[in-house]
Amino acid sequence: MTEKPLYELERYPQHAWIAMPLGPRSHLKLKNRVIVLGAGTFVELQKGAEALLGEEAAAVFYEAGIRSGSEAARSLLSEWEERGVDFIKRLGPLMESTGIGWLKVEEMNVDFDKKEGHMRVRDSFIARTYGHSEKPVCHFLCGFFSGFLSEILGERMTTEETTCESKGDSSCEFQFRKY
Amino acid sequence: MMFSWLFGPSIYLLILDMFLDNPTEFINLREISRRVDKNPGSISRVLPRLVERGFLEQIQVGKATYAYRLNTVDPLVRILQESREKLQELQRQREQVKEEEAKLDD
Repeated sequence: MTEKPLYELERYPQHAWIAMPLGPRSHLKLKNRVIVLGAGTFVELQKGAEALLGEEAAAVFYEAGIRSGSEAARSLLSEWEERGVDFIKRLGPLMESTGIGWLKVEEMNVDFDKKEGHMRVRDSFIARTYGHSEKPVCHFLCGFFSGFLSEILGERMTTEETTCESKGDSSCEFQFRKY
Repeated sequence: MMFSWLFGPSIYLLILDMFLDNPTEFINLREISRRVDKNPGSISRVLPRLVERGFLEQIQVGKATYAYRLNTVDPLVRILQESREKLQELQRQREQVKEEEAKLDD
């Protein structure tokens, strides 16, 4: 059975806009413009950057992820009433096909006292589209989790991808900790 | 931060510049991150290449912890150090000229 989507996209053809309202409390409806971007297009951006910048591209995508994750967390903190573990639990459905379709969360542990934890995911849109790689490739997602969790936990967080589906691993695993 | 200023912005060059500023120190990932004000996740993506290319030497200081230092015996690193000093001197001279020109304008 298909789960009901968390968000219905709103279309504004006269402005060429598609918006994803966060929910009934959202005051960001008009600001939250989204675009339909193929996973392949995103991966081509990453591969293009890698061809031009080498290893620096990984850092660029990681840094972009941090900004994106921070912004997402700030928006959701203003929208969702839950905090702590309950807030984090809502991240799963948001990331999956009921939300933005980036990945499927299989397991997530966050130690709010130690400010560390891990997340195991499948179907990362980056790893699944990238093709085979010797190294993990989900740099943007690593940065996104760092930025997101930094906002939620109130500490500067860093994330490392320890396994990646692009390497042939069965899932992508992200370890995060404060620094 | 001479090379990053000249050829950057670049995290790779920020790190290299920082080590050129501190050529004798062994510095771990967390401290590099603090000094260049970037997330360790960004640093760890470019640091291995600096080691591979011989700009930095790496020593293991814990079970999975490493420290890094400028590889000052590498001839290429010495050339970078000399070039950097010359560039800094040139920059100082240019600033001096600008200051003198500004005084004349006043």
